[in-house]
Amino acid sequence: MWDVSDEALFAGYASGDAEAAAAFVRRVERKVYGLALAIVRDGSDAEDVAQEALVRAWRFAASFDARRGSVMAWLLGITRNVALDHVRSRGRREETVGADPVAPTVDPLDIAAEIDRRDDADRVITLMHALPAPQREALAAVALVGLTTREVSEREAIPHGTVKTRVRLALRKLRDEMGARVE
Amino acid sequence: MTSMRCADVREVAPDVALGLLTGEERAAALAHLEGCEACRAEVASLAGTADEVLLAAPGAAPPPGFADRVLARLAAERAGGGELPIVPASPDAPGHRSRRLPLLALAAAAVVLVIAGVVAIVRSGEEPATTTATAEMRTGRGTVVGVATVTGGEPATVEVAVPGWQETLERWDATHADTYWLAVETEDGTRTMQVADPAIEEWTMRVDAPAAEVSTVSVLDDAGRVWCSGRFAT
Repeated sequence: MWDVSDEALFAGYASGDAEAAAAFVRRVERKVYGLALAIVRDGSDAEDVAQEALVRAWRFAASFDARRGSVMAWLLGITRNVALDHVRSRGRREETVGADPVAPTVDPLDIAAEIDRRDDADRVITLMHALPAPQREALAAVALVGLTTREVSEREAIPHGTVKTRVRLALRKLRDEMGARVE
Repeated sequence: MTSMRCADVREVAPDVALGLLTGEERAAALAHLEGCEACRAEVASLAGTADEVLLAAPGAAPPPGFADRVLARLAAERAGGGELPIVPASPDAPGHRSRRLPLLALAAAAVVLVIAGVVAIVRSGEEPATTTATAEMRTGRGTVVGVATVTGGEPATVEVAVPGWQETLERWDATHADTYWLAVETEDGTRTMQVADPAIEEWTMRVDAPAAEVSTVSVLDDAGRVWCSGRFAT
């Protein structure tokens, strides 16, 4: 089962195949939970978010289009949005770093440093490394941690316009490096 | 609403792709994108990249038993599943990210406007200056989910009622857009947008145009997806 592609496993997950569903969840759970945790910063809330994201992925499986990208990117997109909803519904997250044993010990703005420790480096990570550090950190804070540019500006004491410029430059540069997938 | 030019939209295209724009600025960008294929392609390209960035998120081991709990929830969902009352017009789905501006969705919006059915148009004999027209609000699949009426002379008043909207948002909107919009178009192509409070299921907006010239009304999310739409007979 484990040598099956994510997409094939997801097809089984979507159709209700018990074995495929179990294998799919176990394959993606670290990524889904990790992203949820990075955004909501609380282990219990992160589980709720991760569960909800996986249930929604099943519910909306028919909308996944492999031509638009990988199933993992799609699933993480759902996860990010569920997590951001969660954060917004209770107000912006409280600073709980250190208060929760499950919470990451890195500052969210240092998530780029977390990337350094990953052993499953793929093209995205390699390309993110190629970005100037300020741009990489700004993009990571916005895309992976769910902060607004204003929040990044306040936390880092950097002018808001500078943060916006960094994020824009970073995303454009990444896109250009990846080769635009214009549909 | 301040209109945006291509250069303005290109500047903020990464913000659109990352879901960072809000309020009027987002509405202005979306209004431009609806009519500009080149800018849509730019945003779609950047949104694809934004999706890929998520792959760089650090993994973390979930609490023990996580997978079992997910599978149990899925089993419960399957047992209790039913037809969803509304589906968005887009073949690309609510599961996709709200910040994405799917070209297919925008194309589908045009289709919706074409296929939306007209129920009735009634001109009041007692008040010649007042027009009342009613249109069914339909999804992209043609399902009738609500009704829209336009009344008055100038300005016109457009009322839209979509019963079950709350449940729809809850059950369908995996991306849960920040903002929903009512968009009213008149025969000359002018579009007026107003935020549709997601906490209610009936909305009213005034349009600076004669009621008889109001042609369509749509409910959009902030990704530009048309959730339902109606066309008035003219």
